[in-house]
Order: sequence, then C-alpha cells, then structure tokens
Amino acid sequence: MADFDVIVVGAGPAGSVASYLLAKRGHTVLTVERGKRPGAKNMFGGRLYSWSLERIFPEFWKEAPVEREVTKEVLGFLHGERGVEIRLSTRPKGRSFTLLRAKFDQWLAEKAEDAGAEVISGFKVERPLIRDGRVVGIVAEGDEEMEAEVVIAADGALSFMAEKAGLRPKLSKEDFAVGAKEVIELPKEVIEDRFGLSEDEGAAQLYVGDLTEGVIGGGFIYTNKESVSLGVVMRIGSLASKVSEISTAMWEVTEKFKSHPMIRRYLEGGKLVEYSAHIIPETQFMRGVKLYTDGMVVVGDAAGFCVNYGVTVRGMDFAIESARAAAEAVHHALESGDTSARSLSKYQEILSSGMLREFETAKKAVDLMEDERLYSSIPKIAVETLEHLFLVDGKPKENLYSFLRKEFSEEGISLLSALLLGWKALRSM
Amino acid sequence: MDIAVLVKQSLDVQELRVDQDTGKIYIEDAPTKAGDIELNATEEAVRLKEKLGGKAIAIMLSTGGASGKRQKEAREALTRVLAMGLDGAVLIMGEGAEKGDTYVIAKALAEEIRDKFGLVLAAEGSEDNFSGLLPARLAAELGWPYVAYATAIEVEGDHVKVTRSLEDFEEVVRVKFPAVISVTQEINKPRVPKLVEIVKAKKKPLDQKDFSPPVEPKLTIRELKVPKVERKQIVIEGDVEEAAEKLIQALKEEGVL
Amino acid sequence: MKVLAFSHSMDLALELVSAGRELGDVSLLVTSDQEGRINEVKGAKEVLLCKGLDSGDQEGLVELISGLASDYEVVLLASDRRGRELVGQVAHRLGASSAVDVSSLSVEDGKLVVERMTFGGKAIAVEEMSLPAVISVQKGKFKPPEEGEPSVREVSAPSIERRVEVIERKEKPKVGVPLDKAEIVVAVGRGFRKKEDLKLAYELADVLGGVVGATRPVAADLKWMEEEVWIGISGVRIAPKLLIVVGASGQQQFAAGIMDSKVVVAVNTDSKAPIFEQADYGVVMDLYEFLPVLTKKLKEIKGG
Ligand SMILES: Cc1cc2nc3c(=O)[nH]c(=O)nc-3n(C[C@H](O)[C@H](O)[C@H](O)COP(=O)(O)OP(=O)(O)OC[C@H]3O[C@@H](n4cnc5c(N)ncnc54)[C@H](O)[C@@H]3O)c2cc1C
Ligand SMILES: Cc1cc2nc3c(=O)[nH]c(=O)nc-3n(C[C@H](O)[C@H](O)[C@H](O)COP(=O)(O)OP(=O)(O)OC[C@H]3O[C@@H](n4cnc5c(N)ncnc54)[C@H](O)[C@@H]3O)c2cc1C
Repeated sequence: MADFDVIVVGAGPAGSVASYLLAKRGHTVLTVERGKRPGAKNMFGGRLYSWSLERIFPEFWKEAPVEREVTKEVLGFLHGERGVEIRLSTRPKGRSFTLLRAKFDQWLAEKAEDAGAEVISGFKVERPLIRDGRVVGIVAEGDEEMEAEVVIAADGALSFMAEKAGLRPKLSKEDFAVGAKEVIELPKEVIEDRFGLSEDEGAAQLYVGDLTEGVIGGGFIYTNKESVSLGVVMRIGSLASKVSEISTAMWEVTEKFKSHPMIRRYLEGGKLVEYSAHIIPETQFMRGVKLYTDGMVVVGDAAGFCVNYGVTVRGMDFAIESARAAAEAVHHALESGDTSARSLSKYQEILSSGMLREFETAKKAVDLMEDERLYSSIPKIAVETLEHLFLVDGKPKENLYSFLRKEFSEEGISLLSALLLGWKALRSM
Repeated sequence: MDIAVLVKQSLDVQELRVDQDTGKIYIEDAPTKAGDIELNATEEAVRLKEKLGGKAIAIMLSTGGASGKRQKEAREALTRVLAMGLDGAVLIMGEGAEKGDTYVIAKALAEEIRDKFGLVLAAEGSEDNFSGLLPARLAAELGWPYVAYATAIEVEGDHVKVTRSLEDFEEVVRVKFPAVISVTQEINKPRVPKLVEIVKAKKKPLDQKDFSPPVEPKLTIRELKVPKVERKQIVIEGDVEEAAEKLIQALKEEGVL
Repeated sequence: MKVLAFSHSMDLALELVSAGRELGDVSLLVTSDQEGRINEVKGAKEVLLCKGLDSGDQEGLVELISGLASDYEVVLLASDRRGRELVGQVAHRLGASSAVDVSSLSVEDGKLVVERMTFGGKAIAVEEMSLPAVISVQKGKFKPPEEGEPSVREVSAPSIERRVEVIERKEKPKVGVPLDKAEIVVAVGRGFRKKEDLKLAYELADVLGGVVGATRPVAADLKWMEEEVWIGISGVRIAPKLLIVVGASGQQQFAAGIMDSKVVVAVNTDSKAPIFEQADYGVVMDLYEFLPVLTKKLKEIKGG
C-alpha cells in the first residue's frame, strides 16, 4: 500500500487548495513544500480575483489575511518625465483583493493542515517516482522515495514535476516573462491620502510607456494596508542571454519606474522592505502541455494556467480553480480505485466545461496586449495629445485633428488602426 | 537512564527585522525555531541514549507567549528534533512566560526534570540570547554538577567523560550522574531528518502543559535598542583587475590604507 | 554598593576592578595560582586571597564565591567561557539576578541597570536587575585602574565533595596579535576550500600589515587556524579600521562581532550573501581569482 493517498508537491495556492479539499474528504494527504514555510519565497504582483476561492471558502476575505479590496483601477501612460493617468472608479463586477503572499499562502496551507493534510516545509521534491511508466510517488531530496496513489504537481511555473513526467516539453527562456517586485512600507493614512482611498479600499494601477524601451511590459502598483506592492513585468527572456543580465535590466527598469515624477510622489518617505523577482510562464506553451498522466495531475502555474497581460499577470484564481477541479477528479479516482490516466481525465473534462472557457477569454485579451505599439507609440501620443489640448503657451494652436494626424504619422501608425487598438483596449478591460 | 534535551523556542535572528531609523524591532513578525546548537544537543542525546539504555525527551519551555502562531512554531520546532530521533517532547507554554527570566524558567524546568532524568543536555547558548545562563541555573536548582562547552561526551559506567573547550586550553573532566552538560556547535554534525522521519515525528508523543510562573522574575527588560551601524553597501563592478583597482582607490579615499 | 569580583584571567580581573568601581568598593578574589600577580592589582579596596583554591576548580569557585557573596550586592565575573559558566550557578545559589556579557552598568533608583547585546547583535537590551546581582562583563570595555593599593585579606577554601574531576588539561597555542586589538583584519570563512588556501588570506594580511581572523566553523570546526579564535557573538568582537571579509556568508552571529569595524569590505561569490549588507564595499567575485590580484596590486603600491 502507498504511504499516502495523495502527495501534493508545492504549497502555493494550487497545492494548498488541492490538499485542503482532498484532506477534507478524508483522504490521507502529504503536502511537500520546498520553502522554509509556505509562501516564504512566493511572490506575485498583488491582486487576487476572488471568484474561485469564494467557491471554496465563501466570504473568505473576512477571515483570510487580505490587504484591501480593489475599488480603483488606474491605467497610466508614461513618456519621458511626463504621464497621463486614467482612473476607473466604478466598482468592478467581480471582487478582487490585494494581498501579500507570505501571509496568504500560510493561511491557505493552515487550512489544509487543519483539514488533516500533513504539510511539511523545507523539503524539495526532486522528481516524480515512476515505475512501469506510471507515477507512483515522489523522490524527495536525498533520494528518498515516498509513494502515493496520486501525485498532484503544484510546483509552480518551472514545474520540473510536469517536465520529468513527460507532460510538458523542456522550456526555453523564450517561454517566460520576468516580474520584479518591491514592497514599500508607508503609513496607512498616507496610502489612503495619496491614492484617494477610504479605509480598506485599494487601488490597482498599471503603467505602460517608454519605461520598457519598447519591450512588452510595464509597471504596476497595488496598495496594501500599510505598504504598496510595486513592480515591473517584462517579456525579456528572448532578449538577454544571461540570468544576470535579466536581473540587472529588471532592477534598472524598476528604479526608472520608481523615479518617474508621477510614480515618485506615491512613494515618498516609503521604506523598501522586500525585493524579489520571479518568472512568469507565457500562455503560448499551454499548447504543449498535458494535464494528467497515470497517477499524476498538474495544476496551477505548473500547468500553465497563468495569463500575462503584458503589465499584469493573473494566475492565482486559475491556480485555485484548477486545483478544485483536480481535487474533484482525484477524489473520484481514489473512490473508484482507478487512478489511471483515463480515470484522471475527468480533470480535463471538469475544466473544459468551466474554467477553460474563462481562461480562453482571458487569453484573447492578451493578443491585444501583444501589440507593441501599446508600449511605445500610444503612451507618447496620449501624453502629447493631452499636452496639446491643455497647455497654453501663447502661440497659435493647431487644431486637434491635424495635430493627431501628425503625431500618428510620426509614429507610423494609421489613425484608423490607432482607433481600432484603442477601441479593443477599452473593450478588453 | 533518560536524557532531557533543552530546546528553546528562539527567534530566528537571521530573519528578525529591525529598523535603524525608528528603532523598531519586529519581534512578533519574526519566525521562531529550535536553535542550531540545540540540534547538536539533540544529536548527542540520540547518540548517547543507546549507551544509557533509556529514552531521550525534548523539553521546551516557550517564552514566546501563547499566540496560535507561536504555538504552531513551537510544535514544528519540536517535530524537527523528534524527527532526529528523540522519543518524545514536553511543551510548556502559556501567558506570562515571556516575562520569565532565567531564574523563573530554571525553577519551572526543574519541576519537569527532577526525579525523571539522569542527564540534561543543553546548548552552550540559545540562538537569540546566547547567555548560557539557563543550564547553569538549572544545575544549581537541581543540585547537579554542571559542565559547559562540551566538544565530546563519552559514557563510562556511572559517569561521563567530557572534553570541553575553553579559551586557553582543552580540558577532560569526569562527571558523575546526574549532571547537566552544555554542548558546543563543534561536538557533532546534526543529522538532517528525512521526510518520512518528519511524518513519523508528528505521531510521536508531544505532551503540552500550561505554564504558570513558580516565582517572580529577578530581571526585567526595560528597553530594547537598535544599534546603528551604517554601511555604504557599495558594490564594486568590473573585471578582476578593475575591481581590485577600484577597491584600492576607495580604501585610499577612506584613509585606511 | 559592595562589589565582589573574580576572573580566571588576571588581565580580565583587572578590568573587572575598573567596572566594579562604577558601582562602589571592589573586593577582588585571587586564587592560589594568581597570587604572584597580586601586586598588579590597583584600585580595589581589598584583595581576598584564597591560598587553598586553584582557579581550575570550578566547583570550588562556585562554593567559595557563593559563600563570600552574602556580604556583597554585586558579583562581577569575566565573560570568558569559565567566567560565564560560573554566573548562572552562583546567581542561582544566591537567588540573585544574572546577566552575561554586559557592556555597561549603572545604578538608577536603587536598581542595577545593565546593557547587553541580544538577538545575535541586532538589538541591545537594557535590563533592570534586582539585587543581589551576578554579572559577567564584556571583555575590553574597561581599562584597569592605575592607582590605589588594596589591603589583602586571606579567606579559607571551601571543603566540599567534588563531583567534577579534571583528568587532563591541554594548553592551546597562544594567540599572536590579539584580534580585538588589530588595526587591519582579514576574516576568512568557509568559502576557502582547504587549509592550504588560507595562504591567500595570509599574503593579503601581510601586505596590509594586518592579521587573519576566521568565522567559527573555520576556527573551531575545521580547525584550520593556528589558534582556536573566531570572530562573532560567541567569540571575539573586533574593532579594526579595516576589515576584509573573504568567503564568509555574514550570518548574524558572525556579523555581531564586526559591528565596530570602521570600514568593511566583503568578497563573496554569492551576491545575495547577507555579508554584503554589512559591508561598505562589496566585491561579488571568486576569492581565488580576486585575492591574488588584489594582493599583487597592493604589493606594487606598498613596494613602490
Ligand atoms: C511578477 C508576477 C506578478 C503576478 N501578479 C499576479 C497577480 O497580481 N494576480 C494573480 O492572480 N496572479 C499573479 N501572478 C501569477 C501567480 O503568482 C501565479 O499564477 C500563482 O502563484 C500560481 O500558483 P501555484 O500554486 O500554481 O504556484 P506557486 O504560487 O508558484 O507555488 C508553487 C509552490 O511550489 C513550491 N515548489 C516548487 N518546486 C518545488 C519542489 N520541487 N518541491 C517542493 N516544493 C516546490 C514552491 O516553493 C511554491 O510554494 C503573478 C506572477 C508574477 C511572477
Ligand atoms: C548560537 C550561535 C552562535 C554562533 N556564534 C558564531 C560566532 O561567534 N562566529 C561565527 O563566525 N559563527 C557563529 N555561529 C555560526 C554562524 O551561524 C554561521 O554558521 C557561520 O558564521 C558561517 O560561517 P561561514 O561564513 O564561514 O560559512 P558559510 O555560511 O558556509 O559561508 C561561506 C560563504 O563563502 C562563499 N563562497 C564560497 N565559495 C567562494 C569563493 N570561491 N569565493 C568567494 N566566496 C565564496 C559562499 O557564497 C558563502 O556565503 C554561531 C551560531 C549559533 C547558532
């Protein structure tokens, strides 16, 4: 008999949710996390869309360590020292919250523990244990084998588990974008004042422009209770040949972002308390990924359920939802005593009738964000147009139409395609 | 004869955040753990218990307060030493323990140890406070001999031979049981438990008791200050030659060459 | 206030007299093996000479000091290993408060107030101690007094059954230039792969006219140094004008020992090593490549 019904690799949101749901249904679950504690090293931008977690823990925000509910959305264009901010103040349809992973992941992992899962931190899983072509457990560091009826790979974007089980091809650096993030502490009142928020309200602010020098990407700021999460996302993998080059570039762009006059005023007097960088899987490689095999399923980032919109990334909600689907399928497989690929294919079925549709829509929005002009010409035009409209220097003004036409032709964009791009951008938000 | 290993719930000083500007020390936010040298004491206990033919039990009197977080961490720290091969653990926790000084803690621990154990192993100093006072006080409270800074321990019949390292010399002493011995980091290499040992350790007996201070403390902490150390943190770039030159230049400007 | 002082090391004992004078009259206990240096004692009120006890007898010392202490409010001991070993035992026998490695002490409103490092050097605790109190004083914080002849009184040795028997004692090699007095220190860590490689550090120290110190694992565990002395919270605290830390990670317990250095340079291959936060100048490089070049260039300057 196997040591455990289920071994879950990784205690990020996907791993902890899967562990929780399966332990709650009475299965023996071992969750192995390589960090010192769940969430210790995990980073993300800062916002969780709540829909999927709500299905598991209704009104979880009353209990979970979330920071603020996002009620203000800002899209900013930066050009040189100048900038434009567009502020959307309607309450969004689905709720979303800012949070810090170190606390949040730990809370979720404790939920799993309380439900009966054994969560063990500080151990790295090396690879799946494979016998006769079937996954039968894991091999942990120090060559230690542990058996399970089903293994759930929730080991994040780099997922060696999926790769070594042959579920996805070896990734190259073109498959990744990179995100860097800082947490900057500020007093609560200062945050509320500078971002125009009332208590518990939060802001999500995204910026594009010449900051990234034409590379797809940009900067973000999310407000927490007593800090802001600020960072930069860039599709940089294909541009640099060395990891050190990537990290230097990320650091430089982050510094540039922070020192932009429009951004700087939000941060004045703040104290940097954390810096981290992480890779982001690009959705394209989803095509080459299989979600299950005999004795194993892959969830969350490990399965590529993460959408990079260029500036923001969304994956927590998909990680949670995919884990829920996987837990459902694994529960059935364990009940029926058949944990073969065929039985576990129920996972894909559940996803197809639900989350995958949402995921596809999300991915469509990405195509738009792929347009490189969004990161170069558009911010420039936005800034200069507004300047043209509002600045009075005593000289005669061109009319707006001819000004715009000049701007667009300088940038080599036709007015029509600019309008189309603008329209699509609005529609996707 | 059974062995007691003293395990303190120490702040992880590496992760403790202090703010030099405001003087704030984020004690509540810092995680706690079993001290590294307590892992050496544990390793030694596991090694010696075979020879002494008894059990080895971890004893933790937590001074971290009684919050859920600290309780969980205390249990995790004990799980870790249990996974190394100890047979059980006693966790004494409670409100008010954070005010206990070594006088109070030694009195309380003695209750737990007297008549039950023949040997107490401890670390030469705890990870966060490094005073080494507790085992010394405990020995005095129990009326047992005390030997600190052990770098080797050998059992010989009704006594142990302890090699200990002092500044000017190394000493070998013979001590009769019962005794209290503190060990150094050099005494052994603590084993790293396997996953399966951690899983099993969670099923080993862990006896949790409420702490109530037996006496009033003799010492109180009036204030914790953050020492100011300002470092420039300049990273010298360039290839080896350039870096060496830049460094020499910088040190010349500092006037230290 | 009456203070009783004792240290196994006569040099530290003289420092204790000075520390004790901040509080009141000091009686210094001197054991048989220390008798020859009695005339060096200045500034104490009296010397208590115990001819029947050797300073190697810790059990005897606990008994003797605890017995004498009833006439005193404060007992001062040194913060070397044997001194610290006594603090807790004596304090508990007396029902006294205790603190080790104290860097300053004073009396405020009838309470004894001391300062000491805690949290691996990240904080300084200001502690209020009830009397009587037993304290060990940090090394090098007090200068021995130069004047004042003490009177000498003999005290008798305690007669107790000893449960700890010393069966062997091996001298360790003596320290050359003490680290805590050195102006320039090159500190080596486990980044060196073998003992012979320390040559790179000695060569660098030589051109700079400095000495080589080590982290605890290098000195105490690997025993690569001539003598077993290390820098840090459990070793020596140094205060050179220039410290070059090579191949050491800069864990808090080591870092606590270097805080008083004027300029700190770190050489480490790992740009994330905590030592870089403790350094003025950081070189992210392999020491095997960097040290020879640095030493060569320094030689050129110094030689020419
Ligand atoms: C810069 C950036 C910004 C982002 N912003 C957002 C955002 O605002 N909103 C959003 O919804 N999403 C965001 N994301 C995406 C989000 O972080 C991920 O989609 C989400 O964390 C995926 O969860 P997961 O549980 O699948 O993986 P992870 O959170 O990566 O968790 C994987 C866990 O497995 C552990 N692990 C890995 N390998 C092993 C091993 N071999 N053995 C044991 N344990 C292992 C890891 O330590 C980790 O705890 C962002 C990502 C980045 C990089
Ligand atoms: C209660 C307690 C008290 C302690 N007291 C002390 C104390 O007083 N003093 C003390 O030192 N320690 C003390 N320690 C131990 C301390 O925690 C650390 O373990 C120790 O300082 C680490 O020593 P290290 O830096 O030499 O080794 P490591 O931590 O192993 O660091 C080696 C470093 O070398 C670098 N490196 C490797 N190869 C190269 C290369 N080729 N070129 C350049 N760099 C390289 C690595 O990146 C690494 O950062 C104490 C521990 C405890 C628990």
